[in-house]
Amino acid sequence: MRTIFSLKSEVVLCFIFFLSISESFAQQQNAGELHGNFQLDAQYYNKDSLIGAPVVPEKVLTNGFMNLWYTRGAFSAGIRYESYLNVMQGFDPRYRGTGVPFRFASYQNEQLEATVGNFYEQFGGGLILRAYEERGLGYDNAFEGVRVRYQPVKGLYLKGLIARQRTFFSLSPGIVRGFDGEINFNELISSLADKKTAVIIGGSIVSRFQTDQDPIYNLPENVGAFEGRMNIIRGKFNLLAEYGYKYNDPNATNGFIYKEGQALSITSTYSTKGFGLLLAAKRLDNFDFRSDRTAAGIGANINFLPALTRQHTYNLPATIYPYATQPNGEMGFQAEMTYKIKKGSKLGGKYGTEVTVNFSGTNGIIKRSVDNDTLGYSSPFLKASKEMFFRDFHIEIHKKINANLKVNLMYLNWVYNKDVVQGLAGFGTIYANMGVLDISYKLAKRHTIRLETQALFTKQDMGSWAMALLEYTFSPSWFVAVLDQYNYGNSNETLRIHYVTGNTGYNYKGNRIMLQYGRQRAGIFCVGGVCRNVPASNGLSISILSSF
Amino acid sequence: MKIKLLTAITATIILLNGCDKIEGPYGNAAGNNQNSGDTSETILRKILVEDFTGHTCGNCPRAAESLGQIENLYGDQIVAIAIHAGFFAEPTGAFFSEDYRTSVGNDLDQAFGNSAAGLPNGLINRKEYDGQSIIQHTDWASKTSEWINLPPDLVIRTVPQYNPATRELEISVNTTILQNIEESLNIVYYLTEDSIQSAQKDYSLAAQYEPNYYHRHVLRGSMNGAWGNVLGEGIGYTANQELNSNASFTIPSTWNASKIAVVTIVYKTGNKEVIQAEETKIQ
Amino acid sequence: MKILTLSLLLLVSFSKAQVIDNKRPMPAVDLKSLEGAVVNTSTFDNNDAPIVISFWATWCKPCVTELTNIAEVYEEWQKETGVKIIAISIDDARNQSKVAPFVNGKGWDYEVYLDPNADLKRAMNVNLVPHTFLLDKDNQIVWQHNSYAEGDEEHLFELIKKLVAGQEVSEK
Repeated sequence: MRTIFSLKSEVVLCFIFFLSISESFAQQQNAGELHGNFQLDAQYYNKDSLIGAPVVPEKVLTNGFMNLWYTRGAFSAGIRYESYLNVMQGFDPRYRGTGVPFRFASYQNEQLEATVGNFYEQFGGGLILRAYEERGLGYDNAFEGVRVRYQPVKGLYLKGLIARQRTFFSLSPGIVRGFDGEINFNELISSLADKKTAVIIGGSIVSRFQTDQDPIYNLPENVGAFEGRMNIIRGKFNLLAEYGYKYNDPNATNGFIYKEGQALSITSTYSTKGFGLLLAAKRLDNFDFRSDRTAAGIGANINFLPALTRQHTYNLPATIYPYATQPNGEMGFQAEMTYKIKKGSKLGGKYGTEVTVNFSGTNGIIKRSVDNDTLGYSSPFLKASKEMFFRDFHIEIHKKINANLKVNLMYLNWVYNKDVVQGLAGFGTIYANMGVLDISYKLAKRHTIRLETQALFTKQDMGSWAMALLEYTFSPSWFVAVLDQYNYGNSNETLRIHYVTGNTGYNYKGNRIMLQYGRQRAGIFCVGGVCRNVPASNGLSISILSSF
Repeated sequence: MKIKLLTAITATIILLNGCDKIEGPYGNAAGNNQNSGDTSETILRKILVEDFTGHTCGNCPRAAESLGQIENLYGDQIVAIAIHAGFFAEPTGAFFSEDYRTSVGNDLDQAFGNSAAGLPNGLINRKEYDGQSIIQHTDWASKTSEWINLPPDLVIRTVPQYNPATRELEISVNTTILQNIEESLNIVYYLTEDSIQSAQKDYSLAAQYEPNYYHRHVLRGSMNGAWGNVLGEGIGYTANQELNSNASFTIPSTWNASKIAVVTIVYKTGNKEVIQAEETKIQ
Repeated sequence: MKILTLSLLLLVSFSKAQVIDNKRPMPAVDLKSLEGAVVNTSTFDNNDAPIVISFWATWCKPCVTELTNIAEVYEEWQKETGVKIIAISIDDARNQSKVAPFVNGKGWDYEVYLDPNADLKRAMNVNLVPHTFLLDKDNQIVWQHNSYAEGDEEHLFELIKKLVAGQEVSEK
């Protein structure tokens, strides 16, 4: 009797027959689906000593990813394959080689969802726990373990997880345990369902275990943190408040002090048709929380502390002096207003005009020394220090002039403490004014041409910049663009260089291919006490993306 | 429903207790160094700590301080080298015109990827911990303590002969195997210079740099290349086997010979893991 | 003989599994409405009329341009075809609170949901935004497109009209 994998062949035959029959029945309802996406970024590096581009011995560096996701009814599973052969410049070189760092299997029904393997999760706003992927930054702190989401009744949402975090192609040493609960009173209690006011409260507890092998310090092996949040929505008003507390967590970024950490974030918004207003404030004190107490830079973060500033999209405001949160101490606020001047009115013009104004600022916190050095410092909760980290004032006007012409005009005033934000010294604070003019003109039914000019005026650091971009798009598939960034204000005349790049792209349904050729400027990238030099580069890069 | 709620509450209580609140003492007393002050020739395993650094790297003095703490704790069992490599080791401006980079250091940096990962960082016996060989300086103490009490695999005795007039250095090295080793080993002789005085950026100082900083155990070069050569036949070693080797080198006039030491390292040819190191001053 | 039967059966069973299909339903994922309520994507329905699912973010200029351009003609589109546009914001905690004032400030009439943990984005294999999906009257995904160029919305409207007329949509 022939056996296959130690099973009698008859048994195997019956099993396969049964599978194929069940598949035919399944076809009528919900046969398994396999989908995924693919991304390949590759760059060929030329030598260019004028801009300081380093020599790349491999000549070509590539980052490749493929996600495959299989779903069949309540069951789903997936993997992600990543390859860095070798990793592109500007990414952490510890991404080396190839592997499958992400795989999971999940079961879901109306009340329960259970996932094993790798997963992403967020408790509330992520103040004490958030795992996510940001491929452009090379950031991926996915969990690997078990996660359960349970909804016993409508309006009550529970989540629990026990996992370790991904770092490059291995796992961070700490074990993270977390539990989160959220109650939406209007969904939970039927008599409240029609009330004008909606109230949602939630809370979570997260604890990290990491053994203490340090011969010098007596470190806590279990470090816990808890968080509570409340969201009140009434008609046009929305108030969201979140508070977090972390027990003693001596780690590499806070200098191994035994102080507790606290975080508070309050956001209130008012919105009605044609008008939106946001007011937000936050405070962070010793709130860096990682699954490896010795990690620094972009590594093993358990929580997510975003900057309380407007996320700009134009090149110069977004990439030259971007603010990065200082988890070990900052206090900030932001006010933002969006307003649409009605169509037909004098200022509004034929189509209406959109105006956006925003003002945000962040300072440090006051740190007073205490008797016992290992406790670090003490800090009054409601006061900020006079040390300015960041200020951003901007006004943006968007107007459609006629059926073919659209204009976007923006002014920004920027104050940036480069030393604090980038963890450097000797650069001081940068005071800059920026302007953006973006004109889009429709040449014909599917042909559009866009001209974008930006300027940054400053006397500090590298001096002033000017940028111009010309882009031509042919709907729905093609675009061609030329971009020039010129550092005309550099105090060193030899560094007044033009960084010219040309790009073109083609997309079809879920696929896209982009090519770029030219010079890219350099930068020093610092995160939490570890600085990395992102070198300038000159060469050809290609990006292929596909969703299937 | 009740049971599930109870489970949830129990889980919460368990998690709440999953926090250690430490009131003190915060530091460990004498650590676990049983061998300090021992003057007889007790053969110990020595751990190689390589500190990748640069004179314009403002956070790097913190790593040097961490290394100093470990040296105080474990004494002679630590063999340290500071490798100046990458962007932050480039000579720049009036104060940082020195160049402590070496082709050996650059080769090591390229192989392990240290400067590209952001300085400061280092290697402990060049071993991979959880797939990572690059270790943050705050973790050096823990990683080193893993090796301290392990018995040594071999002992290195380096005898230098230095002629100050000709600046010729000759070394004869005796490697005695203590335990059977199946893998191939390499031996390499690095040269380090201690206490070189020049400027170093330091973000913790008001002036942001220290003009008269003492750069400790700076890697200056190698007597037999970045990776050395195979020890003996390279096909395995038996206990009590002795291998003899030698090398020679001319010390450049810009180096201070009284501060030069030969760092002899024996490591596994395959995975680069260091199994023994020895530091010997030439004068 | 046995091997032959075996291999034949194997072939049959594996070919039955739909590997990559042209039509598929939306994955069932929980999203949040702007009022904080939890909404599952399996409840998305438009009474046998097409649905457009558009992934966007407040910081994505082409996404905002696309939704602004469609907003100008949305009323006409709805009158002619009954199409419903569901805009799913992938803004994370940094910008989540800004979505409601942003959407209202612009005067958009779409159904807007938040996907804060990127669960739906991952389940639908979205790489970059803007990424738009078109669902037919049976709520099956029949077409997708990424990026946005001025004038793309006209092509989208052609496809919506085709669906309403009962024609198949899958190719360009």
